[in-house]
Amino acid sequence: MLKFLLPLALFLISLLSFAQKPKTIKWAEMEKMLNDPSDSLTVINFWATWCKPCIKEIPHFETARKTKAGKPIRFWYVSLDFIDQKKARLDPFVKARMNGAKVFLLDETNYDKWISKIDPSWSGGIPVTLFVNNSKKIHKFYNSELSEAQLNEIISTHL
Amino acid sequence: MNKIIKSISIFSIVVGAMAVFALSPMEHGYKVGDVATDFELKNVDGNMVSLGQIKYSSAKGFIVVFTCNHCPFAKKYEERIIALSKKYEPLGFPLVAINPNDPEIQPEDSFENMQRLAKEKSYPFPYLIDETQKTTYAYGAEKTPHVYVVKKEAGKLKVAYIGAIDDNVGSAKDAKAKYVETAVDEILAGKVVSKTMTKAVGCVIKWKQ
Repeated sequence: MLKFLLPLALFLISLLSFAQKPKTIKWAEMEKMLNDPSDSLTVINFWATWCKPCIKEIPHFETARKTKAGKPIRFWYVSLDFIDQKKARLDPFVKARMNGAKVFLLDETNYDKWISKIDPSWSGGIPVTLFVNNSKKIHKFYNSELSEAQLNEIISTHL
Repeated sequence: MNKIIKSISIFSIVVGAMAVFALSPMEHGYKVGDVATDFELKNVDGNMVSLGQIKYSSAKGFIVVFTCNHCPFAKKYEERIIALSKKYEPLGFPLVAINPNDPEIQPEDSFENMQRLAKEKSYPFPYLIDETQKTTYAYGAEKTPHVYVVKKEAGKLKVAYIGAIDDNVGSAKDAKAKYVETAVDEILAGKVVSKTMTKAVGCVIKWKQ
């Protein structure tokens, strides 16, 4: 019995850890996410493991994600890490510090093609955060690092 | 009637001027076509460098690159920045690199570390530190790397291109659009720059607190 259960348990564990790994996406999928019609406030944070101010603000987002669980709000983290550093840097970071968060790696390095489509005022520095609710026509773009107080204020304004 | 038109036009001029005035504190940094002011910044060799110095009197323009030591994007582009300098300085279009970051916040970008990197990689271009960050602010650079191509026109420095080096940060050989090279080639050929602005991801500049 144990002989059978152990591999099964290992398989399930590996499946579980696989599910937590950031998903690599292309622009087409990002665009779909941006246009998602659902009536919930979607907080889309653009970040990378190499970006110091990004790392500083992520705990605020994670706290908000946990305290607002059950409310019509979603947190999507879009990493701009290099694809060849996913395994070595992004995956371990997410596992250690953003467990359970919805993280994507946007693998589109021809930046000029899509940066303005996120928001025309964005020049490409990170972190930036977009607050979207398409059914309520909310599109608010913040071109800087957010403090915990700022983040909570923005959320309570639009939620 | 004339009086009314006159007063309306005066009114609109005043309102217009007020609007411009209200906007101006928010807006800084150059747009394409603006005249850039010269700077005088300390190079890694200890000497001060400005674009107006005698050494550059015959330059047709400059590639001004805001870059730094620590940023992974700057690292990915480092060899390409060196190549741009080697290609265009002999053609009368020298490259000047400026580190805009406050080393208090990003110790890897200290003057000593800049000196070490410039020596290690034998930078063929000046690598300047913007200690007051006034030049960076005046240009409106927001991240590293951030490139400004300026051309000399009647003794003035006119901004001709702002943005990224090319369209592929991961691999120079896979880049399809080499924005800076194209802009400089067009200026050297006496043509109008076809793509004057691009956007790219980069490390935000670490401003003094």
